[in-house]
Amino acid sequence: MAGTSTKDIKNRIKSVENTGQITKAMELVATSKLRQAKKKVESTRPFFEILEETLSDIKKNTREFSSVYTKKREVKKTCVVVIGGDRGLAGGYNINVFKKADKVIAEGPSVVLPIGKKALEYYEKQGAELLIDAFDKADDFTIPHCHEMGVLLADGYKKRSFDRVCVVYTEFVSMLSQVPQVKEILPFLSGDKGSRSKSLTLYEPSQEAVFDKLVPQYISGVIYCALCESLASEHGARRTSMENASKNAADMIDELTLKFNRARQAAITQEITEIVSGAEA
Amino acid sequence: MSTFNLKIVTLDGIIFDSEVENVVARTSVGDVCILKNHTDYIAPIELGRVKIKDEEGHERTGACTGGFISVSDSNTRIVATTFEFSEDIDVDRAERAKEKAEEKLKKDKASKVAEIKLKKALLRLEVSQKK
Repeated sequence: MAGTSTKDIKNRIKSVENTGQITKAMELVATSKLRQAKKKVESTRPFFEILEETLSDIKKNTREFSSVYTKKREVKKTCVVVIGGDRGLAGGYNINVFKKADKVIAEGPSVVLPIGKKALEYYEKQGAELLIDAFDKADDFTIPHCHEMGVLLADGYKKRSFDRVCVVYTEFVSMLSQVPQVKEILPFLSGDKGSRSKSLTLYEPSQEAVFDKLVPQYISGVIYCALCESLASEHGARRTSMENASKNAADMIDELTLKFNRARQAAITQEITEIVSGAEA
Repeated sequence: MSTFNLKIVTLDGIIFDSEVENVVARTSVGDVCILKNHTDYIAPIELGRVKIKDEEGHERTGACTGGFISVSDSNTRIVATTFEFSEDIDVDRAERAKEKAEEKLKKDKASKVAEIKLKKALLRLEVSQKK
């Protein structure tokens, strides 16, 4: 009896060791991917700042300016862009984004644009109305993809398929903290009317044409930046959760080794007792 | 000649940030040359060549796949989807992209994606040969 138990424990130790090796490897992979993703986040920031600055400059400098994109209208339908991951095993990363997105969706009728395999699966299962289901790979999402999406969203907004566009993504605050965020992209509201500058800007071919061209670019820029943040967050979350898993595995191995040693000792003691009692008899 | 500051940014970061004499970009209404003290100006840029004359009078050419150019208080900025200087262009890659796009267009003549890809590849090749 004692013999089988030591064998069982040995098997368990082995399996926990294997799992620990896998989680350790995943942790290392996530760490190196995180470094790349962080670099990407940093490089997209100047682009985004200048883009936003220019757009609000246009808004400030123009007097009789009206574009479909800036006018507020009654919100009948919201388009929610949800950026999730492609894989699980990243702690609460996916769940937290979905929870945040669900809150926005619950506010009224909405259509979802999922990015990432997990997001797509989740909203398909929920039976939500999907705008498009072609973006199921968050990992190799490229600038042309974002562009395509920018045009798609701007078009839909113009045609009044929806009256508000939000992006739900995960902001990368630090290695240990990633916070899901909602960002409203349309209608375009930044740039307050109070601080109107006096300079006259020349627009070619026309103000509206310029703005209509810039908005899709702005949207794709926002989505790209949000995606970079999300990717960094995903790797960050995965790294943390895998680190914990590796630690747990190490603890379990310690515990099991102790048990194993005890069981072995018990077996030896029993054997000796048996031999001694046999000799006495 | 007097110079002004030009910044070129893409999603990959700031690509160029320095004083230049002039910059020529292809906007949707035609080529536009910006010199110092240009009035405030904003125009979208189409897929096309961008030429820069730097402080020392050297000309540099770049391939830009769209974006916009803005001048405010003589700070000129080009915000581009992608931008590559002629010396940074990977000719082999552009060549491959061209072949791929041509093949795709043969199969599917209406493919907009392939058409745009072909245009981009051709632009890159053209710019890279004009050093």
